[in-house]
Amino acid sequence: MNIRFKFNPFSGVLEDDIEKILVPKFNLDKIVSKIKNADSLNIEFLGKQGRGKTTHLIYLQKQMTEYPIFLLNSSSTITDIINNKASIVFIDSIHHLNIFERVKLFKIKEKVIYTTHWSRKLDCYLAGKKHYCIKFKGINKETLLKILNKRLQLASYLEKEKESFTTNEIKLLIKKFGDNYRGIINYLYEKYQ
Amino acid sequence: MTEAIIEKEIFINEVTNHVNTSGYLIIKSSETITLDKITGIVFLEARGRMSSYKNKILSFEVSNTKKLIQNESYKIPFTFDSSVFEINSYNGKNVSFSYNFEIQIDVNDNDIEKIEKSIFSKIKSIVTSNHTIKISEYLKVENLKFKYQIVETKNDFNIQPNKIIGLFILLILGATYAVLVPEFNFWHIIIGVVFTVLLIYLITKHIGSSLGTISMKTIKDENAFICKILKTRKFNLVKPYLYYVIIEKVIDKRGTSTSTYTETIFTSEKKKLEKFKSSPEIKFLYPNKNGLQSYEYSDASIIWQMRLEGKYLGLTLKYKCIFKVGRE
Repeated sequence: MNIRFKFNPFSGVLEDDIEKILVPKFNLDKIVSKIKNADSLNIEFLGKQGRGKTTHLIYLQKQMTEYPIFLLNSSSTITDIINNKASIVFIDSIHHLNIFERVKLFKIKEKVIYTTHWSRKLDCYLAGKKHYCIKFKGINKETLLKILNKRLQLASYLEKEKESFTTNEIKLLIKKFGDNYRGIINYLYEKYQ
Repeated sequence: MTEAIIEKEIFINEVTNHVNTSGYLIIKSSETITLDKITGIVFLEARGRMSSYKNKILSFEVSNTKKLIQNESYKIPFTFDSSVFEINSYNGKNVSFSYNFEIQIDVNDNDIEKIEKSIFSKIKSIVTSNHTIKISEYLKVENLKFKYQIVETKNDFNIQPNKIIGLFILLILGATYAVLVPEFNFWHIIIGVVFTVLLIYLITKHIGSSLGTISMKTIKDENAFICKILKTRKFNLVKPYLYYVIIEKVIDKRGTSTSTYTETIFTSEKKKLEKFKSSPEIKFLYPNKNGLQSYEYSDASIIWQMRLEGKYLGLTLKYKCIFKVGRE
């Protein structure tokens, strides 16, 4: 590993450090206010894998730790979520619940903020719930440059890291990986390990 | 009111023994202030091509109430138990294990307003919302004088799918397809691949069950370990040999899909199995490199795996078996 860094800048980020490396895709205050003040509503983070949906969900939940987050996998069930008394819940990978479970969940909980590859507009409609979608698609040079340089800074021993990515390097990464943010991070992980 | 500038730096020795680790904190304030408590915390971090984790493994008191007189420098020594370091600092291909040592300085409520932080180069320092000053440093843990020690147990070998059989099936299927089906169709390829995988599985299972079971018993030996092969009478391979590997395994559960990365980090000497018909006992030496014992932390693990290879009906068959090695 590059000895100038405390750890590989492109390794998985600790939950506590997400805030330090994230360039939010949305206005945080606006979303927080929407969650806290709006009527019954679902907020959907929609996009292909590796586009930053989960990272943004964890980041958002960290601003409202009074509400739980459920990171679902293939063995997850709806029971734990339903049994939790919170009226607002954050759910990663909601596709692990079937459509009946999703509709049930949307009916029971006042607000559900979730990540998904496919729009769950129909599920929301069936549950009689308003639906607000944030799309995770596309990437621009400036945002990627900020994200990568923030990662270098987080791992650096120095207060101000000297190394940074150039615009040309960013262009090449986007050309190679498109908006697959995780693809870029995994590629750079190998370069720095 | 004048603001106090707190200068602080940690010095910590490289961790090389399993009893105690020592170091000291140097602290100096530009104003007289009182510290309520100084706490030392050791975290184990696993970072890599996966979700990273950080867990507290030790917390101890460095100092209780302490008054810092204006511009006087204090050297506060500390010692902590090195047995918390279950594994050496490790920098693999897909994961790194490292230790972070943090010192938390709680300033007395009456002096909080005096505080201003000062940062030494190479040391991150933050003042938290509850006015605790934190400084941290990464520790290098290596050369602990531990020896490897095998966990004595009996484990079954599992037969692995054979590539030659797979290739042979693919060739037959491909040739049949080329002759019988005039138009290429993508779905035919998908069905062909699924069928091949299924056939390989069935043939492997059939060979495995017709040969019978084979297992191994691991036995402690001074500075080494013994692997005793136990098998059914009919089980027989031509030119069998045995060796073990140490593997770094990482499961990346970030996002929707799960990916597994494995990397072989050590391969032992390959030993021929003489007198395979009786139950042979093979002696293996441990690696010279320390700190690679079986280990699992969050989604990363270090795995020891015994491998048996030999010929059967002209095919090279491969068997694998996971076993555990700890430290004394």
